[in-house]
Amino acid sequence: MMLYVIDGLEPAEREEIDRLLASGDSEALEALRDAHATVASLPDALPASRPDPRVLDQLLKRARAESDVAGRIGSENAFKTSPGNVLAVLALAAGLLVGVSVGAGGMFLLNRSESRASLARASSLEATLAKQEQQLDDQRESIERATLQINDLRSQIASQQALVASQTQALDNARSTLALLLRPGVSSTDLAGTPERPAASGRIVWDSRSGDLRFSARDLGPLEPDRSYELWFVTADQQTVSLGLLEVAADGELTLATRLDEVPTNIALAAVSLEPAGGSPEAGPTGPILMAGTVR
Amino acid sequence: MADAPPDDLQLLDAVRRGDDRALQIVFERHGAILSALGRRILGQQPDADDVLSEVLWDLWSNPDKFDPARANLRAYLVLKMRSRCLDRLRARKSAGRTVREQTFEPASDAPSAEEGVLQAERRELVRNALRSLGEPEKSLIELAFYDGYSHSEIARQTGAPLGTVKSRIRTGLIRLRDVLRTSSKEPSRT
Repeated sequence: MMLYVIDGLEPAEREEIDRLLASGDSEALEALRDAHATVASLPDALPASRPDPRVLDQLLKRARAESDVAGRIGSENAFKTSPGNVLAVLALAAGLLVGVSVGAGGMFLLNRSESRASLARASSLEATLAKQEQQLDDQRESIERATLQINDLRSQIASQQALVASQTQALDNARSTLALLLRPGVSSTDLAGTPERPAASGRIVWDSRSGDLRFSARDLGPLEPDRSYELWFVTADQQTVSLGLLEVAADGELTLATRLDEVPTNIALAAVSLEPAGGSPEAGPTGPILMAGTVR
Repeated sequence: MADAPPDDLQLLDAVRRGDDRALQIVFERHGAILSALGRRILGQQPDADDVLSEVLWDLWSNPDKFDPARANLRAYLVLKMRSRCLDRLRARKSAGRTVREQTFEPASDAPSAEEGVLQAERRELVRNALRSLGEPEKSLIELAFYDGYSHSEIARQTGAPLGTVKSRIRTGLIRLRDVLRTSSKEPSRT
């Protein structure tokens, strides 16, 4: 959710969260409020700034001008609908109706052919209007259909972009791992699952000089949303060094690619532990060890 | 409006009724932080004030865009301000305008007459929380939040894998949240 709030998700991931939020999922909404509040706290660290007071003056003037216009329209409407004025309007309308009827009758008697022509013109105008309304409705429908098609295409493009991004990422990881493996003097260790995850297996490769490190594992099992896998080095004198959190790929492979600032010289063990989301809150593992391998 | 300071929902109701005192309260309550954010992203105070005006007018004209179920008013305004500022920054870049990088005048951290002591305390709290994140998490979060770089762009710039960039930003923000939560529960020291 943190990445959602700062626009850091791929389109497909974003759409998934949009759908969840639109469904009114209360946990998702709570997480969203939480993420919003965290991200919105960042500017609190900035140096103090005071906006120009004229910004507020102009806003208030604009708001009051808008309220004045709305007020005038409101008072005109009030006049039209007040009970006393309703009677006056009705009397005026009745008078007009009588006048128009008398006038129309006179006109009918005086000039029947002109009346017929007027009626024909009115009828023609009515037909033209109906035709234009129909055309407008047709155009609206076409626009709605086109909008649906565009949305559909956008969704397809977003899915394809997500797929390409994922594959590009996998290719980049594979290239960098290969480059690392080809370097002289790299170290590697195989990790096996502990009784907690007996089927798990993995391998860690690192270059002590550059600090480049790659890790890949399989069959660690499904990961709960509030948990993370964390990779560690344990030195001969029992010091623990966190190497980072494992990324879970779509195919279930767990990877980590990073560069260490400093590689310990007396590494005895590499291990993966199960931690709260975001990693161990302490200097060493707090959860069960799921995989381990002795460094020789 | 009531004598007690109005909360977000009361302010929103007042905006819907066209009570311009609500606009004034929103400006007084959140104007400084929005202005600071605008200045950090755009580098120029007049541009920041311009966007601030747009954001507050948008709240006044379309109060129903704010959904209290998704964010509090402060967070809503901060993220809208950020989004509008980044739009303006991108428009500048695409128009090829050369905007001189503003050298920020030395800002005083001491609370001014208009600035409450609470705000100064809050600043220290968030600064300490950011310091506690360490690098590269702090820099990555700043690149994403203030400079509007996508995570792919950050990965290219820093040479780190995209997954690592995402993981570090996410982890950094989660740690920031936890540190702020813990700190806000501690009694304030005077």
